[in-house]
Amino acid sequence: MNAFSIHEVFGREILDSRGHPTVEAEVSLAGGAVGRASVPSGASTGSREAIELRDKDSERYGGRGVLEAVAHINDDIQRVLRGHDARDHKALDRAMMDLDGSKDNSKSRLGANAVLAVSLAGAHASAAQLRLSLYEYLRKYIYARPDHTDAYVLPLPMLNFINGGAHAHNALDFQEVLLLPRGARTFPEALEWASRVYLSFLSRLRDQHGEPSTNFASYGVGDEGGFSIRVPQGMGPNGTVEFILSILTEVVTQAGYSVGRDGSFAIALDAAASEFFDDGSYLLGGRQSGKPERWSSAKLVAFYEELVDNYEIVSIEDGMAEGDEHGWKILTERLGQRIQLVGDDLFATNPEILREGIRSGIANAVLVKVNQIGTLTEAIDVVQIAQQNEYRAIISHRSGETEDTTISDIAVAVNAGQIKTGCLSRADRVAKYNRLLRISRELGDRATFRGDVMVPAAPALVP
Amino acid sequence: MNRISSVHLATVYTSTSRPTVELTIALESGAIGRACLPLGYTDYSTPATGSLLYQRVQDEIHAICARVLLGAKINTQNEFDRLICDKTDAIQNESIRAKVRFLVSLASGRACAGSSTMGLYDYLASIPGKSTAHRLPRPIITLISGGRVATTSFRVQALMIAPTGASSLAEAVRVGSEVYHSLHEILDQHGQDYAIGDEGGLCTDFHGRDAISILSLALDTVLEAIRAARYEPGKDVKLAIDFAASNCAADGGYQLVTTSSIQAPGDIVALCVALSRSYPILFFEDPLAGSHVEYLPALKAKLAGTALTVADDLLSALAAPGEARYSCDGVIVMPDRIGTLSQAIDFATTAASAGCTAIASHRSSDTEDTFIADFSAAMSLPFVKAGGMSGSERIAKYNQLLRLAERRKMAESSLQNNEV
Repeated sequence: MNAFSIHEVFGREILDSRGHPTVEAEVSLAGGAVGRASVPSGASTGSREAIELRDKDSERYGGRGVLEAVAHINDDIQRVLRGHDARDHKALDRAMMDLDGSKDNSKSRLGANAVLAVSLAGAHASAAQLRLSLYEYLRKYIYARPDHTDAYVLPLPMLNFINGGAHAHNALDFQEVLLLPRGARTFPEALEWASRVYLSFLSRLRDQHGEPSTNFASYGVGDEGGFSIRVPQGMGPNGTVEFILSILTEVVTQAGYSVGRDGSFAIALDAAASEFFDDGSYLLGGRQSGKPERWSSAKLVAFYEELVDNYEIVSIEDGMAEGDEHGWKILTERLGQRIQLVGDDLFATNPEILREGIRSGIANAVLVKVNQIGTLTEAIDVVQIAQQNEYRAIISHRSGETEDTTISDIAVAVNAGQIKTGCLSRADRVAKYNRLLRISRELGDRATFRGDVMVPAAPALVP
Repeated sequence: MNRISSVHLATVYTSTSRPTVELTIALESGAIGRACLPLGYTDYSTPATGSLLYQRVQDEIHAICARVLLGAKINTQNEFDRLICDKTDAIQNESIRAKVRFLVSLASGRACAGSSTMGLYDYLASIPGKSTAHRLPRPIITLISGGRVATTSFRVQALMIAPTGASSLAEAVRVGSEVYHSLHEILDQHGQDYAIGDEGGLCTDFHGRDAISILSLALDTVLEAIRAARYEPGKDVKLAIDFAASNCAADGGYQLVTTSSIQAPGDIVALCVALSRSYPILFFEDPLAGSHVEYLPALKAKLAGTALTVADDLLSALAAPGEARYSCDGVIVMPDRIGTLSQAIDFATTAASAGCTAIASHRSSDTEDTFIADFSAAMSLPFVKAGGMSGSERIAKYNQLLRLAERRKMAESSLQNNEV
């Protein structure tokens, strides 16, 4: 028995940012250190994701309670992990996976929410016992960087400013339009710019008479803190996107910044194309009219190309549906050398699926959501597989978050270079940015920040 | 040893993207304490006031940093707070002065308290001058947001619920969450568009002939949500209304909905009385603005036995908290507007001993800091307002209360019974 030997594991039911129950775990070590972490929950959960456990009891929280998952932590998991050396994180996660024993490693028996909460809390406990910041602990003990560098990179925030798709009630087919403060020289500067643009948005919500303005619909509609914008009728799918991009540009300009190649901000899209994929083709422009147009994969790719030609779009996430491998091939062929193509639903933070994708040469980046796979070591494995194959790995939140900031530390530990954690509003999102500000202060000169992190994918474009 | 070895000021952001001040104080022992300033609407009503405030608070802390803070020894929180008060007495602006005191006192208190989950609660509970009861506050949850925290025509700031029938904190939080989500479903069924306001409540438009019919419609919708979640209004759940009347002031009267006519202060008194007869209302917060305090004693008398009147913005127009009782039954306690921890404790204790119901409160532009949860529990305040069930700046406070509720001694005593 040493100071790192697990003394107690404890679980509790708390609430996430949407007011729904989620799991929090505490791991305490013989040496006295205590680690605490809570887990997020996604709005849409893909078929190949780890499965969270929800109580079937409709009398509590409409059947969303997590008392059963919590009981697994307080019984089985506690029993198996007690006495375990918390620094051997791989073995700790492995012990829980063995205990779970569900097929396809779905963690459905214990609940991925129970397993992940303990996995994360264990890392927090070890870090505290070692008197290390969590990101340092992760770098030293879990993430084996190929070049063993101790240089840290602070991530470029991908801020979800405009909501569409399943996240909003407007005509926009794509789920998110994001702003990337690419021209900022430091991480704090990037956030300062984001704050000014956010406040510039707020000032547009009311007209000069103090009445709600016509184009700027209510804000906060999205769980991720972004804005929703009303789009005039009959603009069609192309017109809608262009209208939104023009308003976005206008607000950025009003805040004193610019969007463009040499400008302060670049744009990213999250199409979430699986949401409008139907029977081999894509249904666009039907959200208000009810009469969608049916587009082929090739037509959608051509539209993306046109957008990339005309706007400073540097990254597209889930541009194609998860089942449309043919579409993904066309997309990667046409745009893979010019911009970042991110697979979210496509790869589901799954090492096997990612390896397959790499073999077929689709996309060039992966979105990493820790709760899609369910343990810290597996999530970091996904990052390493990506990085070894020259795919970028972006650390991401979920729509249902908590005040927990573990993903900020993960992003820094693995030098992800980018983080996706919503707009700069709602503390479930802002807490992650605030944590990164503290890390940035702590690291000082030991950390770098690169706004043009995704540009190396496009050597042909550099003059 | 509890001697301050370093002081660090930094910028972090609030839930509505506004820069705010974070103060970190380290002790020679290596312990670290952090405090983050939540913001209220008046702190940022124009961009200029926002940046000015931010700069002033930073400057004032800088000014006392080398001279007072570095090397200062913290024997007791009360003694240290007196020192801080003494050294900040010259700050003219009352709001800035309170914020400086709050930050320095809380950061130093946190450093002394240690970083465990119960640390701050235990520390606050050990500061002399408070009641010795160990009771958790009953949460008051915002369902509908209006006024300046929303962009709808509804100018009343908040319609809230108090789970008065819940027998434990965990049950009260669950009732709050279930009713909140039930309201989402009801609005969806009504085909009513809504958004989430700054304080986590839902913002939506209600239409009607006049203010009372619109308010009744909104309250009926809340009752419908309570029943749909299978709770009984009045028995399990009561209502509370924050008029934030100074923001509805218009032409010597009040306009509760942008489309309604202007009502005289006497009409508001009649409105509150009428609402309290038709609905199970626990309290009316700031039903009138500071310019109409003379109407308050009559309102209080007319509502006696049915609902309370609570002063928030009104407090500045009233005298000391102890004297507010002649005009109101309760007061809102926002420690960041009061000053040091000792001053906040003193404020709440004075109010309680004068028979005033003290209600701790979050701010509209808040952060993930959970101080208000620890404070309200350590002080055994009857209620805490922490907003709607959305956004971790609100939920983090409820989560901290859930953690505190696990403690044996807390579990033994039930949640406060606050029947009016």
